[in-house]
Amino acid sequence: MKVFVTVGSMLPFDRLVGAMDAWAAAHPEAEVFAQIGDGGTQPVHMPWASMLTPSDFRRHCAASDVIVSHAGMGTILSAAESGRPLVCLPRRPELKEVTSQHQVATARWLRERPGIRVIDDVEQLPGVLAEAVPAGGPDTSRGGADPQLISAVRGFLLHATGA
Amino acid sequence: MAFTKPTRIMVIASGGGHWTQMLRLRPAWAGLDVFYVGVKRMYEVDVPGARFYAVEDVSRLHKLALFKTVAQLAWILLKERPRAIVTTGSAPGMLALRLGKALLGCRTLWLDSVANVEEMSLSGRKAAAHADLLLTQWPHLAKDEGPHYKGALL
Repeated sequence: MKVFVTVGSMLPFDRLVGAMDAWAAAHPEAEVFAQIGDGGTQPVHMPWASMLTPSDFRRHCAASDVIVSHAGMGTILSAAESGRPLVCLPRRPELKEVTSQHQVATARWLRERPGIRVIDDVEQLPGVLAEAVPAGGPDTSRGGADPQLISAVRGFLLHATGA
Repeated sequence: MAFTKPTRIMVIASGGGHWTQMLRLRPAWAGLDVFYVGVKRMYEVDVPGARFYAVEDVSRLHKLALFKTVAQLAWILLKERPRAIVTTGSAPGMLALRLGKALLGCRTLWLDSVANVEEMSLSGRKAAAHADLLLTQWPHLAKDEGPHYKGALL
């Protein structure tokens, strides 16, 4: 199994990176790679990078069987675009992992969707990864990019620039 | 305003989901005179053929970066003189709207991230006073005085 771990780049997320490092140690047959951001504890049982370029990031998504991540919107949209299932653990402000409750809210919104498994604690990780991996990525759809939104923004810009 | 280039548009987004959502909004400025500002030089590959500037990222946990980001944004604004600014957040976009309004009288648009499901982002709330159009992607967060809901990027 190929697992791509990503926690964004803004703040370290040692809780998830540490748990995946332990999981990688216990599962030498799995191929795990992690993007860990800046300033966190460095994993020893899985290869990692602080930051990947957008094209390397897409390549790692596409090559994985499952993506394990924080509940960041960029990662969730990338998993959806690459059609890869996502296991996500929201960052929590009270643990200084993020500055607001928005990841908890995002996770609450997407929790019941196909292609995504939200976990509330790292202790759930081994169990979730041992389960059969669902086919396909997270379903974040709310009806597709809304043409009304695009035209509202375009209308604003055309008016502002007199074009 | 006389000091701005009348057709020019600045599009600014920080990393991760802010940048991804901005890319999904691109049809809104297709064919217009636009340049981009991001928080990492490597994002340049996502907007081939367009002028791109990288500024220092800033958040409530990186307060020292604020001065550098403000200086970089002021320099970009005075060089490019955009008439309008669009941002999908977060903190650097909020600073750009404030500076653009103060320095150039820009027309400004804030689109809050779809990740902000239960309340507007803090940056969005701070940007509200400086945004001519304030948008949320969740209908239940819309209010008569703004933010407004015109649809979502998903």
